[in-house]
Amino acid sequence: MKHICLNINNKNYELVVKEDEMLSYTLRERLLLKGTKTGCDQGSCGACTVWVDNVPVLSCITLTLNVIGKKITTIEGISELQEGSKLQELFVKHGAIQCGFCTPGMIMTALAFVKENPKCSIDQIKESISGNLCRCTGYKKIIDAIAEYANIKREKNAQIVSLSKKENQNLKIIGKPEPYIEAEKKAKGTADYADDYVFKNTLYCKFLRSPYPHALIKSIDYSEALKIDGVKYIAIGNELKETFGVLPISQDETAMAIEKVRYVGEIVAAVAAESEEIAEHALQFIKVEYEQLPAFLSIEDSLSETSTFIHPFSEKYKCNIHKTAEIRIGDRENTLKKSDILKSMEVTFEGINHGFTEPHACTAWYDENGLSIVTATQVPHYLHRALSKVLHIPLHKIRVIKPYVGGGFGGKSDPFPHEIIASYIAIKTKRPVKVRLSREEVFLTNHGRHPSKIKITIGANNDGQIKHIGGEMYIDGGAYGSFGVVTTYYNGSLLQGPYKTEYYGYKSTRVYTNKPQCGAMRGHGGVNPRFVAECVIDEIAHELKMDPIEFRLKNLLPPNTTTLGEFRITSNGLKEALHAVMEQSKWKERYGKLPFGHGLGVACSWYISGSLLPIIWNEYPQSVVHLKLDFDGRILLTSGASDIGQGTNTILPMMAAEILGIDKEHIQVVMADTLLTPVDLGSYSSRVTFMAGNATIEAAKKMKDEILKCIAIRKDIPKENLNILENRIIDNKGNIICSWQEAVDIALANRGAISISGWYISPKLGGKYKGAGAGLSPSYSFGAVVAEVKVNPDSGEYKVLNIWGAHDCGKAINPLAVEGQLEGSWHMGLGQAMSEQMKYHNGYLLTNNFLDYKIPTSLDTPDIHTNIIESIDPEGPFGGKECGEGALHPSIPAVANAIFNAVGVRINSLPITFEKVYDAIQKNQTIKLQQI
Amino acid sequence: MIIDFFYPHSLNQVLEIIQTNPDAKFIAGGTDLIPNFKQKNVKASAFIDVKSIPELTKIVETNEEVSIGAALTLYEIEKSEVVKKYFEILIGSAKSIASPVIRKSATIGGNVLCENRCVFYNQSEWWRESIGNCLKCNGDICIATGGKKNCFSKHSSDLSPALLVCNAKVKIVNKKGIQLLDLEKIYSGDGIKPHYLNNDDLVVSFHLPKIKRKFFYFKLRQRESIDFSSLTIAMSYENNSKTLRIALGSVDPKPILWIYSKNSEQTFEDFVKTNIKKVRIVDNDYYSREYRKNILLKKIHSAYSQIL
Repeated sequence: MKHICLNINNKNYELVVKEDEMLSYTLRERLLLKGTKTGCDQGSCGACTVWVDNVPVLSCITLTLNVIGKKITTIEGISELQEGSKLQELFVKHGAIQCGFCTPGMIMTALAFVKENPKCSIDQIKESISGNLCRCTGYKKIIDAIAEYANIKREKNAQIVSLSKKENQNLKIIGKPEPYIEAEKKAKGTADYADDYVFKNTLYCKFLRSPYPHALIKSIDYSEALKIDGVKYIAIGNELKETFGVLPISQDETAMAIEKVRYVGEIVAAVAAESEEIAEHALQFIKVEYEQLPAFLSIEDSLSETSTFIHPFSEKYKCNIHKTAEIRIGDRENTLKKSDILKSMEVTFEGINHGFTEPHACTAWYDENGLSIVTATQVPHYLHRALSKVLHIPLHKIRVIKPYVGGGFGGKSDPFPHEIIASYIAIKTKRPVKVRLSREEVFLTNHGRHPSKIKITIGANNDGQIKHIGGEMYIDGGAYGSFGVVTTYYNGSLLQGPYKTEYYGYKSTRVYTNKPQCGAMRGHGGVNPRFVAECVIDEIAHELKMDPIEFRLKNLLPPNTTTLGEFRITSNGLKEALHAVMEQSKWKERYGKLPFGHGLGVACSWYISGSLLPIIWNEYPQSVVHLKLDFDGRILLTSGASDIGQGTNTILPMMAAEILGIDKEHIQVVMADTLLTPVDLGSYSSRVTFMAGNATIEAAKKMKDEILKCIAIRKDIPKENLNILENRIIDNKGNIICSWQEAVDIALANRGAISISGWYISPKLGGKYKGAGAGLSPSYSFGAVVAEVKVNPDSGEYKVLNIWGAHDCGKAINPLAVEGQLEGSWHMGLGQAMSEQMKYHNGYLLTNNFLDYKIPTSLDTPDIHTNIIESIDPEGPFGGKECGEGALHPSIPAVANAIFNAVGVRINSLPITFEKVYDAIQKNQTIKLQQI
Repeated sequence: MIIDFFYPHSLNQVLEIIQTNPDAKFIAGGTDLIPNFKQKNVKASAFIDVKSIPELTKIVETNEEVSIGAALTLYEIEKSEVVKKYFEILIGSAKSIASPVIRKSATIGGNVLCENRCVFYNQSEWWRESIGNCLKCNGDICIATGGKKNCFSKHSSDLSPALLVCNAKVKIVNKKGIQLLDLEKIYSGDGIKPHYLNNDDLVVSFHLPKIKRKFFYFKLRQRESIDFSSLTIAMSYENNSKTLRIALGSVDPKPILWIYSKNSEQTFEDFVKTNIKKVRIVDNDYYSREYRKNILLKKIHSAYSQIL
């Protein structure tokens, strides 16, 4: 250890550090300067950026001893600089902050750059932040903020297209762009994420992970490890025998492996010790004897007949199938015959990881209130249930707290082994136990998009009307179930829209394999089949010599209709979405007229605003919101709704304020704490705005009614003649009856604080056939994307130049947030289209870090042109529907279709790497040569 | 591993320290060294910071040559007027490395000496032990080639191909004295120990003769920032001697240097065909060896017509 002095943010610190310690560790762990974040530990994400002598530096790969005698500045110090706080304000104003985890690093990089290059251009700004990854924003608003800071005028590249002629909701708050209520904290680095919490007397927990994809555990001997000074507890699998899983019908996981391991990286043992270092060190003294089993590493492997099963429930299939789903509606044979043109395509998809910048982390503790855990989660409610089940603790003695979360996208929407293990050891040791996963461990935790093989056949007549949509799909689920059963259905069920068809049918199969399990990821199982369907439609349009947009317009399902599978569609703005992107991209003037190598492509899709049916069948509502009003005139809004960067904590108070007629400043939130807040099922399937929003509106209406009832009695005015407007009670002539505070005093007289509950229960909808509920939703979003690409036919290299996207989200409650979510969705789709893949070698994950797993940087991201379509849904809160997942679907096939338009090749596997484009062009040319 | 950290201010101090700490490693920006150190692919008893040694941080122009200190950052190279004037390929090459923030710490010396890479080598200690350590990690076989007894890890510097086509020499100092070698001489071609340098050899500067050349540079990677190269091509053409120099990176355990004279009887096509057979490209990259080879050939041939 070395005794050193460091100068940080103009303050001198004297401390003791290890010689091989990184600056990020020193800042965060020794000095508790938690604003600097660690996302990847290898210098490939930029989250840890600080300044050393005013030069931006990656602190996770900088030795602390290397910066002695230098001036260090962190995000905490930036806030005190005038230029720093100005840039932070602009980030907040432009909506450049969603989950906020990349924000401190991004600001450090941007501020240093503009200081050095005051006369910079947009392109230079884009380049300057290309080492800072953002998974939420698509970089667009970040560049907007930096541009304004550099005094560059940038036209706003987003618009709202309202379909309702008489949008007379007369809204005062809803529909106005609002920075997130916590955006300033995130900009300043003072928002606490799971790893930022510090508890006294904490133990640190590290995991021993399986080195084999499939093996029996013959013995575990941890006696030597237990002797190490500072080791306090070692846990192994059979101490936690209860299975769990997010779906009640698919609870096939245990916290640690019992009897056998099912993937490389599965947790076999856990060590809790006084420091991370001791825990890590102790792992090598745990002796595990394995007997390897045949490993199933691909869909083909798992479909082959065998007597070795990854899970015993596959025995009935005689191979390693987990689940099959089959739905066929309409006349399959007849529609095939009726189709003048029939096109099929089979596409192979690699697995995709969520890529959020914040690794999982949690701290659990046990006291007189029972078990508590603060954890990076999207689903406090499901974790609450899982902890109770596995640990045999009553539900009423468990508290799950969601802090600020650095992105989820479905990767934090399951109860996790590390959460259960930390909780268990906290109970055993009576000390807080902390876990944080390394980036490699985050990849091994996975739960990402399933690798898939999907074949889709579409038939149409010569007039371009779709008659038949059929699919056969196989998805590679990895070692456990997660959301996989639902994914299996979603891979087919969303094929019944957004186009009319006379037949839709599919057979979908999920297999188990010996790899980290797959689960829900943004857009869920609908993304991959949508890609294939949109490419096949493109093929049909091409053969019929029809414009692909015209073809789609011809086939759109209208609003207020029911699909073949009995999904009820209410509002539907897809036609307007297509028109918006068609006009903006100058499609009519350019499509088919661009030179070889330059192309445009289009795709559409649709998505659920929350699954109508809950995962767990009971009589509870799907979302409950409580409002409490007390003497101080403040309304506390509590809900289990989980803000993971999509802005829930901002829009729910907006909705309440709108209904109540008071300003937002009177409403504050406490959210996602299972002790304090009523249940909301969680942030997945894009349900929160719709369901928690409706619950909020109901609660606010009831609260308003209750207040006015009291005023009516006290002031002897009929309740119908009273309203609340701009913090005042007024009558129907506009006379002010009393102030908000006076109204509060009247309403609370003789009883004190009022608590009101509002809830949302989905209407009864849908068919009665098996699987009818998968994909069923109270309303659907619709979207379209046009992509423009340039391809170099000699090498296959290509660049996406522009993305025009339009998304019908019903009503943009907070346009700033909606734009951000859409831009982030389109950007995430681009990643899957161009460069992201989880690649394995014999079951060992090769792409387990942010260097090898390639999320698009700012330089890889094209200009994004955003269109919000407002169709004002009859059941959505203020007409609102989802905007968190649906926009991702069309961006991927739009790129593939643009490449086809540019160079005439169809790539039938994702990602579309330069190599695949090159090979396809070569093959094409060879065929052409042969034909000559 | 207990580490010490030294901050010498002169070459003599450096040489003294490395004598008494033979397992120490020289460090400048550390942007390649530290990630490898964290993954336990590199071990060191101490680090010796060489950023404050004057000989390593100067650009000196004489009548015949330009010398570039090894501890100059890639950012400083990008901004240097002298480099831009005579060796603009170095600017293009430096700008293509990593990301802008990393380039403010990464140095030309560090890049030229950056460790060879392979998807099976650049992994955590746990990962490598689980799959079975490969040759480069003291194991028995090369995993990337499915069992060969040689290591095919890729030379991954982008600046070294650019320097090679500028005819660069490298100045190395150790306790025995100073050496000035042709840059290509320090590369062994052995994936396990890619440099002929001993632990106490300090790379001080690069010396480039001021010869007027035309340049071509190409780097293949999927993303436009952060990523290491999958194929780097540097070319220079000197009109008086009609000499074409081609240097290739990320396709072999060492940078490949070809020298072709336009006066030669052999056609360029033949020359390339013969020499490419010796390039040991294997499947240890994001792209397949076939693709990298195909693109290599295409780019070289199209650059040849351009540059001449």
